Amino acid sequence: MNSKSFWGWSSTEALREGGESGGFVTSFLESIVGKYDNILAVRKTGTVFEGAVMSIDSKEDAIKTQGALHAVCMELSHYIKKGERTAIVLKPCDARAVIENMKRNHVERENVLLIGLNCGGTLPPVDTMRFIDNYFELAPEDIVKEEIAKGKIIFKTTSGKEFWKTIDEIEEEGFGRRENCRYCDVKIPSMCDIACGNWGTPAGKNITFVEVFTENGNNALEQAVREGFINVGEPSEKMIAVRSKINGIMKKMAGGWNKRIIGRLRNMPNEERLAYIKNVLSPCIACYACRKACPVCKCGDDCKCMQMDPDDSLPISIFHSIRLLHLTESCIGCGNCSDVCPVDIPLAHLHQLFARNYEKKTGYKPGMSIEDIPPLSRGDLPEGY
Amino acid sequence: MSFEPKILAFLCNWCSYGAADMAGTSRLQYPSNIRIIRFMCSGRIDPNFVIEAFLRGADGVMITGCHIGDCHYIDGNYKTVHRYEFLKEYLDTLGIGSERLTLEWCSAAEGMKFSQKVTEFTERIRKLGPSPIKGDEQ
Amino acid sequence: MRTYHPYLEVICLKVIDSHCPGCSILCGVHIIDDDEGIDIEFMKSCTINSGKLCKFGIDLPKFYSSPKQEPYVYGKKVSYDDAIAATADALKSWENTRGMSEGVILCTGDATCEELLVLGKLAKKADMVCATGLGKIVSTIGGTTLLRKSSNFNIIEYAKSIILVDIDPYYQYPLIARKLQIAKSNGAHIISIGTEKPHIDHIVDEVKLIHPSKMQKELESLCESVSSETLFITSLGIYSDLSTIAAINNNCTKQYSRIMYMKDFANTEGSLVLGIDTKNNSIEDIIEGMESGKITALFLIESPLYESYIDNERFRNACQNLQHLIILQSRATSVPNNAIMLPLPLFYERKGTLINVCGRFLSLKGDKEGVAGVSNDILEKLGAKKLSFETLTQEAVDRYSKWKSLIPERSTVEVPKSAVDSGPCHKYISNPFLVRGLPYTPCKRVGKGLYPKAKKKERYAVLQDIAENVVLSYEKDTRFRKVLDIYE
Repeated sequence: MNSKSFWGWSSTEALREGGESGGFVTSFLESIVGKYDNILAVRKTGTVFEGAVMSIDSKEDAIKTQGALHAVCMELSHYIKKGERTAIVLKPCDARAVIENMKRNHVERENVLLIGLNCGGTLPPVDTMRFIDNYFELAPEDIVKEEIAKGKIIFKTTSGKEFWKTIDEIEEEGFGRRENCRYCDVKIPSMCDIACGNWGTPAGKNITFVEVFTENGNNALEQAVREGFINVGEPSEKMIAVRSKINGIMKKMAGGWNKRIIGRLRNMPNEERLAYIKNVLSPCIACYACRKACPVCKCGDDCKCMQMDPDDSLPISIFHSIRLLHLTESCIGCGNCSDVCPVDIPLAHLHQLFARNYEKKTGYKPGMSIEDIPPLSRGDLPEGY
Repeated sequence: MSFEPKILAFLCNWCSYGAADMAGTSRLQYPSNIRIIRFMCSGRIDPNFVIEAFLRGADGVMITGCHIGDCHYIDGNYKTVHRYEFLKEYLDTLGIGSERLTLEWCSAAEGMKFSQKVTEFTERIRKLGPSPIKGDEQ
Repeated sequence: MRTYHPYLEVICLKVIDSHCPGCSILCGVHIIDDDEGIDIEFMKSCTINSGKLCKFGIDLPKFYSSPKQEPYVYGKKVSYDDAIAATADALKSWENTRGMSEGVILCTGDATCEELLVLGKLAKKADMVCATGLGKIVSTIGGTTLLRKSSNFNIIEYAKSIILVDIDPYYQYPLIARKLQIAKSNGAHIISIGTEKPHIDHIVDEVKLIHPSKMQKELESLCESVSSETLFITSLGIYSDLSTIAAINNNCTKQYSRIMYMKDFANTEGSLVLGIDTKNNSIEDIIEGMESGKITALFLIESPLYESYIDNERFRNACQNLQHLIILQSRATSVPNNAIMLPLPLFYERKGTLINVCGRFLSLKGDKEGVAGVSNDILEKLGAKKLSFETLTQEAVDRYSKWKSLIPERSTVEVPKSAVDSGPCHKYISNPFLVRGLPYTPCKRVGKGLYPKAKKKERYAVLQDIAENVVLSYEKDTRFRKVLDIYE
């Protein structure tokens, strides 16, 4: 189906005030409680820098998930179990991971309702705590709310004060969004059933812009409206244009960072790049954390990369070369591998370097649609043979 | 001492191994730099085999198989083609360079072509010099 | 496969904030406990480790899902209540022989502060000695000087020069290696002194390979080049050499430099703050006491010593001499036939407080009381009053804040003669796997790029990088394979 756009907000006044952008997602989750085996979302646990995965069983549970958590970078996709009807709230990279898992038959498309959130990037929690300590002299416990809006990161304290700085300023100083988020170019999760966000909503009004991509999402939304959980309205043409303009700006910014981070690696002479890759991989302690954190890596303990002797004396260990190979056609750039590496290897940059070069050559972008078959799995003959 | 390239050749059982055999029985000369590994089908060649060959000190890797349409397993070499394209991009990105990898089709009757291609490829690698991923000691 | 029952099915997804019990860094980690078993989730908001974990942390699901200890009495599997009754009987009969021989409660540190306090109380009540295996070091150097009071590891990042004494961050504490990497990029000069070349060639500027008996002299000669900007990092555990620790302590006292003692067990720090270990005895002394018959009762709490002591046979034989051997253990271990085995909840299941190597007060968010619960069951059997968990926590908090406000006094101590002579010696390199008797395959050859410039021929010649006459614990040592079946 063609995508449809709505403005949506919660019909409960308390949720509309308490939630982010009109509490649409919270109310939507309330409306589907009991209709799925498993409803997964992230809830707050104390501070805004900390979250935990939660399976929603009741309406009270749904309320616990309200509010944005930019500084919680969790990967939820691996909680989806095969054969379970699951609804899940996710950011674009998680959604891409789910799509990749569907291609590998770990998740069934018809069993899953993907509720996507527009994402301009996530913040690394510890660095952000350090940042607010350095620049605003605030304790992390004092922050009750954080927000990314109009190119600024805004922190609200317990006393109701607001502190903000522009993203550009922060990032020039080495803080700000995670590096992989800066060059990520998927901001609206078009592979989901519905995508929600505050881009394209009139200022000052608590409203969510909802784009529905599939029949499944449309049915769920219609039902939620019918049962009185949410109200919807028709967005104006002007605001639809505003939304795509914001998306364009974000993508342009991502392009700039792509040039700075990935482009730097790409433009190195061959020998230098090889030496760089050898060098950054050399401190590896073979803990396999990158593999564990990777949302598209699903072979389990029987994977051939685990069978390889960590003791080999090769310039690049077989473990890493297999992972580089596999992720060349499936890396979604979520950055989890870099986050969890105990010796700070910039793995996400390496995998993205390979994946983006391959994307340039073949036009295949992993995780965008379940219909896109990776070139290596195609049975056809490419041109020129 | 002048540089003698080490070249690993992955040959398919049905055509190109026959071609190598043919080259032998016809007493055709080709450089002794290649080491041959026989596969049942060129479609069996995992990209990782090629990478491991480079990591373990090969200066060049040659993949050969049946001509398109002649595959003993009908479409095994279609997969080879996709993997070859994939590997070329991968080797360029890694910094080894895609010119160190080649894909050739040789039928069992093409002993002449096989020896020619091996000679050409060896010369190409000789010009390129040792593989950059090898340590200084090898 | 699950079938779809819209309103009946309740899927529990229990997420527990926890800390990795591997070493005293106590990295933050979420434990996910659902119907399919235990798994971990990286806790990226934890300021200790930013979500990063070492090999042991990644293996935690395996560690926690290995078989749990079941109650046994003298080699027979019994119910929990029977085992408690047997323990109460053993304690009663111990009361009768009181004064004639010694009893020891040994807990190397994998216990919460509350549990340690309970052990202290139990020791007082039963007239036993509470030990952590560090008694000798504590009584020579002073417990509080072995601790640090800072909120995080940033002192490593900003140190001008760092001296690693007998420590190999790659095997032992990989998260320290990361901080050293940052320190290096901030311009720190890093020296390593020890029996083995540390596997961080790209970080260390200078390596001194020496036999343990020469360590003391080497440290003294270093005294001039040390300043208040210097940070010593060394590992402190039950196998540590007292003379080395004393020599470092003296060096730092003279030059006002800083020390960081990395510890092998989760809450060794807590046991030092709470002053649990009161008697001047090391593990060696305890085993000798057991062999000579001086010690007749031993409480072994969450101590993997029965599996992982360097001379395993010796420890087991010494245990055979005991009249009373009571082992409280969470993960299954082999069962001595003269022991009463009591199960404990796993580390993440417990509640309580912990203190990590930087002196941070942390809490475990499980729901079981661990040793406190078990002792309450025993006390109930004995007809005594139960301990309240809240009071224990309050006591731990009070003692912690008292210690926090205390300025530690550091003084030079007399350095005892090194226990090892210059002949062949066995050097124990501790690591979360090894101290718990788990199989561990070190990635120690040239591979993995740990020696980026090494020649291929040297692949199996790493032994050159170990001081003469020293055998490392993981070299050619297969005894850790023994417990493989328990682990997997």
